[in-house]
Amino acid sequence: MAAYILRRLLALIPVLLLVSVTVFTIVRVSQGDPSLLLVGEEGNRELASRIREELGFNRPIPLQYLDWLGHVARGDMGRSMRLPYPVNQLIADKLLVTLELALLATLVSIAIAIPLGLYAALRSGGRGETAVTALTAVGVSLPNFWLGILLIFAFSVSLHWLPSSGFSPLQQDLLGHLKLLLMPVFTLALANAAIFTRLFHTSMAEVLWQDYIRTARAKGLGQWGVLVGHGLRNALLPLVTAIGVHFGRLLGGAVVVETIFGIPGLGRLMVEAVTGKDFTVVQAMVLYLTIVTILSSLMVDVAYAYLDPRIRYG
Amino acid sequence: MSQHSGLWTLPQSLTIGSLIAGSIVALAVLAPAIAPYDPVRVDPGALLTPPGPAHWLGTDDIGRDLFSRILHGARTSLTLALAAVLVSSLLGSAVALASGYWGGPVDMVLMRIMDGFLAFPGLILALAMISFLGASSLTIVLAVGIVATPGLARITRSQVLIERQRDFVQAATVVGATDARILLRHILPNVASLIVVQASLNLAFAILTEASLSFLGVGVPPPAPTWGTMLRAGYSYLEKAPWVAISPGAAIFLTVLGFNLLGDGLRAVLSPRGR
Repeated sequence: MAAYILRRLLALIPVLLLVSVTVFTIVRVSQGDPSLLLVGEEGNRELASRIREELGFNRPIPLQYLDWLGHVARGDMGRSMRLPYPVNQLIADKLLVTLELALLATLVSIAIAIPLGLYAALRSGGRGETAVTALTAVGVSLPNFWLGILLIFAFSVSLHWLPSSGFSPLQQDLLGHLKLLLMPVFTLALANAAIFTRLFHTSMAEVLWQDYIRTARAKGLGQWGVLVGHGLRNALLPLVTAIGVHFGRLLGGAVVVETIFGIPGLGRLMVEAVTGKDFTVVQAMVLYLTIVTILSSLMVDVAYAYLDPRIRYG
Repeated sequence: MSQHSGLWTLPQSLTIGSLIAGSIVALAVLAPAIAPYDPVRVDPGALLTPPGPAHWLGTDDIGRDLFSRILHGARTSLTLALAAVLVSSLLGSAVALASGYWGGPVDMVLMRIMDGFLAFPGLILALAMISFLGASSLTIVLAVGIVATPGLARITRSQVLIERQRDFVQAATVVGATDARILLRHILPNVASLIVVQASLNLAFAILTEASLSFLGVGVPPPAPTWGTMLRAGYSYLEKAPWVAISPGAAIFLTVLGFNLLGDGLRAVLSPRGR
C-alpha cells in the first residue's frame, strides 16, 4: 500500500510539469510583455523598461520559465499583479471559507441523496421511482445562479428570513454565520445531490438483486437489518468515488455561488483574478487545483481499499 | 432509468425532452416573426414595467421588452451552444477513434491529456482559457467546446475498443482496407449513436456553461442579448423588479432540462441496440 501511494505521488511530478509549462506558455504568448501589463497600456515606457530589466522579462522565455519553476518548486507563487500581497497569502486567506462551503455542501448532498436513492430503489418500477427520477432530472438542470437568485428572492426579499449576502467569521457569531451560509450551501449542494441520488439509486437497486440480500432475507433478518447491514455497505462504494471526484469540482460551483452571495472565498478570487487579468493568481490556482484533484482521487482509491477488502493495490 | 419494454413504449424522458427542446428551437428560429418588439429598442417610457398585456414578461431597466429579448437570446445561446457541441463532437470523436483504434502510446498520451482536462471543474477551465484569450463569441465556443471534449472522448473510446474487436472489422483488415476506411466506414457508424447521445447532453452543458460565463461577466460582449447577461443585469433589480432576473433564468432552466431529458431518453432507446 505504501509503495502504491508513493508511486502515485511520484506520478504527480510529470503531470504538474506539463500543466506548469502549458499555463506559463499560454500566459506569455497571449499576454505579451508583463512589464507593460504592470504599468498599463498608457503607462510610463521608461518605468516599463526598468521593470523589464529588474524582473528579467528581457531574458529568453525558457530561462524565465525555469526561473519561475524554481520559485514554484519552493512553494513561492509570486506576488499578485493587482493587489499588494503574495499570491499564497491571498489564497490561504480564502481557502478556509471555500473549504467550509464545500464540506457543508457535500454533507448536505449526501444527506439528500441517501434517503432519496434508497426510497427510489425500494419503489422500483413504481410511482416513487418515477418521482425521484423526475426530481433528479430537475436537480441536474437547475442553473445554480438561478437557484441562488430564486432563494434570495424568496427568503430574503419576500420573507425577510435570511440575509441575502455577506459573510461573518465563525468565531464572531456562530448563528449569524450559519444563517449566512444556509442558502449558499444549499445552492452549491443541489446539483451534486441530484447526481449522487441517481448514482445511489442505481447501485442500491443493483445490490438489492444480489444473492446475499436474498440469503439475509431468508434467514429472517428484518427489512432494516437487510438494508443497513448488507445493502448500504455495498451500495455506498460507487458513492464514495463520486464524492471524491465531485469534491474538486465544487470549486466550479463555488465560483458562481460565492459571486451571488458575496462570500469572500476562492471562487470569487478566481473571478476577480480573471476579470482583473491577475495572471499570477490564475496560474497559481490552476496549479493548486491540479494537486488537489489528483490527491483527492488518490484518497478515494485508498478509501476504496479499506471499504472493500477484495481490492488490493500492488 | 425509467422502465420500458420494446420499441413501442418510448421512455417518457424522450417524449418530454424532445417536446421541450423542439419548442425552444422552434421559438428561436421563429424569433424575428414572433417577437412583439425589437429586442434592443429602448423605451424610456416603460422602465421596469411588470409583466402585463403590453409586455408579457415585463421590461428591463432601460425599457426593453423581456419576452422579445428572451426569444432573440435563444438564438444567441443556442447558436453558441451548437457551435461548441460541434467542436467537442469533432475533437472528441477524433481522439476516441485514434485512441481506441491504434491503442498503445497514442492511446496512453491522448487519454492522459483527456484525464488532465477532466480533472478540472469545467467552469474554471473555461474561465481560465477565456481570461488568457479574451472574451468573444469564438473564444467562448472554443473554451466550452474544449471543456466538453474529454467526457465524450472517454465514453466513445470505450465503444471503439469493443467495435475494433468485431468480426467485420477483422474481416475488413484481412481484405486490406486502409485504416481510414475501417475507421470511417466500419467503426464510426457503430459509435455514432453514442456520439449523438453525448452531443445532446453536451448541448445542455454548453448552454449552462455559456450562461454561467455570461453571468460572471466574461460572456459574449453586448449588445447581443444572451440569457446569462440578462440574468446578470436583472440580479441588481431583484427587489424592485424580480421578473427581470427570473424569466431569463427560467428559459435557461427549461432549455437545459429539455436537452438533458432528450439525451437521457436517446440513451435509453439507442443503447440496447448498440450492443
